[in-house]
Amino acid sequence: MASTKFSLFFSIENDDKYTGAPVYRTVRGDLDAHGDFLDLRRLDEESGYSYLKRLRSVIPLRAGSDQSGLIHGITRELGLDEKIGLEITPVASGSTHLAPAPHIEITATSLILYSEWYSADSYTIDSQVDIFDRGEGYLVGDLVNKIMESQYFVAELGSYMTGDEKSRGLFQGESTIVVEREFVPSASYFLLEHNDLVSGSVSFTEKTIFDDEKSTGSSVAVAGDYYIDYVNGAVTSFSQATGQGTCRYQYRDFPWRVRWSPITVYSLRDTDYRDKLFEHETMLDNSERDGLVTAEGSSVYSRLFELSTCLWGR
Amino acid sequence: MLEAIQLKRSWLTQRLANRFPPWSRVRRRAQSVGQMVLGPVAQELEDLYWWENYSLGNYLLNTSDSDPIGDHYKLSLPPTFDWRTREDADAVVYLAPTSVRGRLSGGTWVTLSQATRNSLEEFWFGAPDRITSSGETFTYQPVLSTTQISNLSTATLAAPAVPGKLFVTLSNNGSSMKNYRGIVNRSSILLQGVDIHGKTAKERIYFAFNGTRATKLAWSQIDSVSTDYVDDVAFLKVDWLTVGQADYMDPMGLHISKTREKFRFLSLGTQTFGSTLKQSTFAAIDLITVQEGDDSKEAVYEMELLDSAGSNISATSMCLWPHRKWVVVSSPTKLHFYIPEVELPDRSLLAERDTEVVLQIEPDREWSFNGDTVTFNYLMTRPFIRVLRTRWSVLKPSGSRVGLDPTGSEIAYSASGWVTNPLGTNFNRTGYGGTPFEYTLNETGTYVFYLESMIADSLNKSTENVVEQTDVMVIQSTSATAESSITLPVATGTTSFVGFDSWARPWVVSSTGVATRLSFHYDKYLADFNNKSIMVREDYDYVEVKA
Repeated sequence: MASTKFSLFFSIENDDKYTGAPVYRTVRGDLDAHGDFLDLRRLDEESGYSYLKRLRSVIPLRAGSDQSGLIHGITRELGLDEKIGLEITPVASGSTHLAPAPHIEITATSLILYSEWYSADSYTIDSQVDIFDRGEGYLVGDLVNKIMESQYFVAELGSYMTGDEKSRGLFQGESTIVVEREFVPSASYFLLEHNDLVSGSVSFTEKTIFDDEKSTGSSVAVAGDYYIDYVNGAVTSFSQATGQGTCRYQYRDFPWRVRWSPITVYSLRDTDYRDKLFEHETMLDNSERDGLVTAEGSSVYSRLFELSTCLWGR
Repeated sequence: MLEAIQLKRSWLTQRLANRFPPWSRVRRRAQSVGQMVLGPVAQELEDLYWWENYSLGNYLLNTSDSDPIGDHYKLSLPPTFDWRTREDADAVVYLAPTSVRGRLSGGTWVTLSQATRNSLEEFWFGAPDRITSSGETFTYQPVLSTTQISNLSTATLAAPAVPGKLFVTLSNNGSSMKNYRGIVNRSSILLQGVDIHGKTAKERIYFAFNGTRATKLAWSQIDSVSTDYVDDVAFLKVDWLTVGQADYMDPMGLHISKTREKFRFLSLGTQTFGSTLKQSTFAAIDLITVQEGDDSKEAVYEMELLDSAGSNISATSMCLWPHRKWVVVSSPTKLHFYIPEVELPDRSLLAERDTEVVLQIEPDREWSFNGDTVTFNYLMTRPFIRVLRTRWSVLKPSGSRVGLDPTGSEIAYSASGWVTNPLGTNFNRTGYGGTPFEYTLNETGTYVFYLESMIADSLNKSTENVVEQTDVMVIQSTSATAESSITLPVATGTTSFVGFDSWARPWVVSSTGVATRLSFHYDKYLADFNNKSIMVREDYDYVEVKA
């Protein structure tokens, strides 16, 4: 790049001939004005294409103080790209899934496939893959292969992934989404906004109308009886809801698309991550890297831990 | 304004001319004296119109140009460096350097030319001078290959190689308005998938015409494509490149005829001598036509495409360069850059025309091709006139001037070539009722037709005020010469095509289906004479300036 190359070279053969190295310059334009407005500066010698792409991502991918907000912000500020890392779908069995209640979770250090998941206390793990350490699921491509070993799930790489990206870059999250509040229409049969609901997760504010859940639609016979078709998200009740009540439920967001960024943000409160924090790390050439912090590093960590309500050493 | 536009007729000229009465020559003829006066005004207005559109686009992030004036390189010259000067009577003017060249990183020196008139517009928005491969290649695959609607349910969808807005092309759809149970519905396409930011999204695109529309959303994955009120026999294509479409709607130009204004579409045509650029029109303000879904387009101009050396080309594809004034045409080995307007005739050829000529030539067109047959008629601009005699002649591109008899046959151009009382009583107040003649243009170039007439006032059945007048009409081959014809850095083949992705980056797809992103380079400089510096657009290792 011109600004970094040796720019003092010049030769004057006579006063009307000159040879020299031009120096990079830029002039502010409309894109920079958008950048001021969105608080996103152009990187050094950044192309209009890259800058425009970053500017257009400011509103949809909001930066913020939470984990994904930090990743969005840092990724964008550094001129890097977020993508869909992988897409996981449960194996189908008829109109429903082969696994009784499939659920996937990505934590700081692992990807966990659940064949049954109803709540944080009630689940059955199908398999768990380490995505932090070099090994089975370190790279996204390897992780996809590990998931394909499961009888309950299939996975594929995102369209713009090569498979050689580190799995640590996958956004932490869960495939089951909680809907905190959805209005119940004034009807005795209605569809919720989502389908593929988690059994037992639906609760209504109008307890008298939705009092006794039946296992089949034909069993709904007296006031207070209701039936939920969990596959289609359909609710049948004996009495008509007033239209004033709400309900809360969980649904499975399949196919689950997991975002990926070259930037990873960990929470110091995350106990899984804290276990790995000062671990020796295996490098690409199989050498070991000492994970112990330096004196300077430990002072940084201790200041961070001061701010974090953690109990050191558990 | 770009230099290349100055020689072209602006589409806005006719809009100004249409303020004149329908019978006036200024309204009817591009080579009328009136349109010569209006031409420069229209060009300036068109320029303003274009820049207003461009600036408005940049005002919105979603329509911004991804390559606005910005990055460049500056070479500061030493204080001892002196430009050449010329001493005029009233001032000393700087002269452009005799040679400026830049050394590329590979060690090759390239000659740099000064941006025409040292203008920033030529420097930044002119046609490129050199094309290299960016190194980015893909196996080309559209998101949805051209598929008949009846087969849409089984079609496979691919992720766009470059995530961004997509280009949806609908063709062979009969009417864009479908009457279903008494309700009129417009044809539409529904895309569902994942947008560029990873969010599930859907977008409906309405079609009022067969052609291409860009999506508003930027996509990274399309999961399903469905249609509403589209004919089963219609074809649909969804692509990440603006390639392979039949017609490009020109967003920066209208077609303005003597009677109405319409949207303009550009497409390639084929003639015996090579490729042409066709302009066709589609109702813009005639809403009834759109409502009825009559989307047939009407051809208005066809231009012979010549490369920058003036030879015919065999084009493989064309596309409009987003945020620029250029139409880009590919041939098997080159890219050519055109301004899609017809050329103005050489006005010096009209010198013999009498300003108040009463008996005028009325051809059925002003631009034509070699081999075309033009029909000639008469136009009388004043009543109560008697035409005593006429003499037709034509100056051919080869330089010979021959006379024409009343049937259009060539005769010697001589004093005896006059035809007495040629129009008889066939002229009345609604025009000439006699037989027009036809003449076939067998040479490429500019034909100049002359109609000499002897007319007299015809009042009270007496013949008075006999005058001799001449009308001149230039009919020339419609051609467009490329501003720049540049050899492509990759082998492409006869079925290759060029296109831009939604970020306005150029791509070429070879006959074997390899898409290569191109880098356009501009070996131009701007000279800042007062501050003794040279601005260039490319990252040269060194630049050498000779005053």
